[in-house]
Amino acid sequence: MKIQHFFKRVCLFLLVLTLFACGGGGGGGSGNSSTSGNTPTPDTPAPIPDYMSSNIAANAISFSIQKSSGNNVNAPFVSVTICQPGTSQCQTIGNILLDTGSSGLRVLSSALGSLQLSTQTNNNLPVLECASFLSGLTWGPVKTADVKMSSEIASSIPIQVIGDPNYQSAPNNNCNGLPILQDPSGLKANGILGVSLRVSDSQNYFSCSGNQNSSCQLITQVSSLQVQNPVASFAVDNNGLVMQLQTISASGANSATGTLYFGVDTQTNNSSSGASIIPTNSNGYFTTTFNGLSYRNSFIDSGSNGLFFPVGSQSSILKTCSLSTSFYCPTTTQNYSATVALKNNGVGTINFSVANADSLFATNNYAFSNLAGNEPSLFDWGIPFFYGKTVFFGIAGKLSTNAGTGPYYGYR
Amino acid sequence: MRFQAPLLNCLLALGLALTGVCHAELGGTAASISAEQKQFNSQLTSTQQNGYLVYTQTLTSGTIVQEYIAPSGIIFAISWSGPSLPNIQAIFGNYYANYLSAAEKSRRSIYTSSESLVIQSTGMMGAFQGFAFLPKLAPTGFTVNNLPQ
Repeated sequence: MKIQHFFKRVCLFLLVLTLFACGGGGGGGSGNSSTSGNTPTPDTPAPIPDYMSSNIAANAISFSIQKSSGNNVNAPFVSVTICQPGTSQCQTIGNILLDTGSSGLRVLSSALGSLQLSTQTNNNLPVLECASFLSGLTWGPVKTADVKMSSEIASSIPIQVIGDPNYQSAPNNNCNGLPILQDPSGLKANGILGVSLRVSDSQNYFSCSGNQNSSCQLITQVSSLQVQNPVASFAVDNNGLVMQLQTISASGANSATGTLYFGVDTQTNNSSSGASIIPTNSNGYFTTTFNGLSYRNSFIDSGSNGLFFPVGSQSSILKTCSLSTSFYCPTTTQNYSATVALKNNGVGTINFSVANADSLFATNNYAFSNLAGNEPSLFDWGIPFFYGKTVFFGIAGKLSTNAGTGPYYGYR
Repeated sequence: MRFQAPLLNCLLALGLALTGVCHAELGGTAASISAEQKQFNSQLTSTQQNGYLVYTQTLTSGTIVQEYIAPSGIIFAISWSGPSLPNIQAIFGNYYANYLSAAEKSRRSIYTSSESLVIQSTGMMGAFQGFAFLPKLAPTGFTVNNLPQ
């Protein structure tokens, strides 16, 4: 009997999978995709308070990597204050993912509380956006808000509100068909603060005559009306940002804290003097050389939880983990170095370590400086790169005194 | 032996579902690429390569999708690059679940590789690139290195 039941369930599951796979796209609940096989979730987890940043200076706030309800490792969180433009009607939202790999602020509708924000319109119709992430999409109205962090204010900028109960399903066309990230379990955060090297997000915008996805038409949105990188819109300290993250031990740490400075070379606390500056192409990519091979399309990204790089000649040592199959599991921790081309024909050497990810995840830690996995075509310098460093991000087209004109990365 | 009947029913139903509506997608056939072109409202061109055909669609978003067709008519690989992702569900077809399971663990670098399926999807917002490849259905001599890296 049990076997029969099992087969019924398998059959149903396969059928659902098959039918789901054949659909034209869009839709699809966010699902409850759990993170890597790290920490087992207790049956009744106690609520974990959202992380709230402290103001470190007029142009600086704290960020933290720690246990959160999403249970993700190496995810830096900040809090952001969102206001009705020009008023003191504001809401401060914690557990916002600090992401240098996307542009624009996206927040859950539920986190805005009673705050009312006006929706951007196009020919009198509300404007909605479908933004692509590799593992999902964000769908929802573009709203106008003041965005504040410490004393910095981006006035009346377009942000995206996601998980809006009025707009549950994304269009099938011109949207990526992946699960919609619209609740804390899908997003594993209350929002995403996208502060990449780009000023705006280059995603897909729609005007919608009703609440159904079929009522939405793709529109062309000029850069200034797209969801904006808030840092680029600050009145001052708007040419980039700096992330400084503490050093942690090789076995990891339960949590780690850092400081996010706004601006580069605009104040005494965000000087790029002495930093290695990596110029990038217009997409924010540069070439990393490792074991004699060069990988263009490499990038530095606070939204990546590991170092992802080609296994190359190390395949006998950097074996794929048996549990967390996205990561490397060497028997003993390995030390490597790679080089990058710097400004003024310099060459930068970056040292990094790779530990056994299954062993790391077996601890109670959430911060790891030596977590890595396979990505055959490029170097994705994720959060492990940031520990013990000061990392600089120069926004495209903006000048800083020492580092030059963006887009560039830097580290010290 | 009791489980045989439900198993049979399951396979039958699954077979029907598989042969039903999926076409212009990884592992499907080139037959309905024009229907997909209509759905995507894309510009479509095709080029004959040595031993296979490549259909290239340029979407309104600026993203480019390529489908690689073996002499048998089977789409044995897909690739994409551009500011936003194409409809992954539509172009992955029956392999969509494989993409999702590979995507579960990493936000920005997705990679999975087996003898029968390779998926690579990476990039930051504004500049994505990736491919999916069915090595066992590819023409002789075509390897993962023939795909845009």
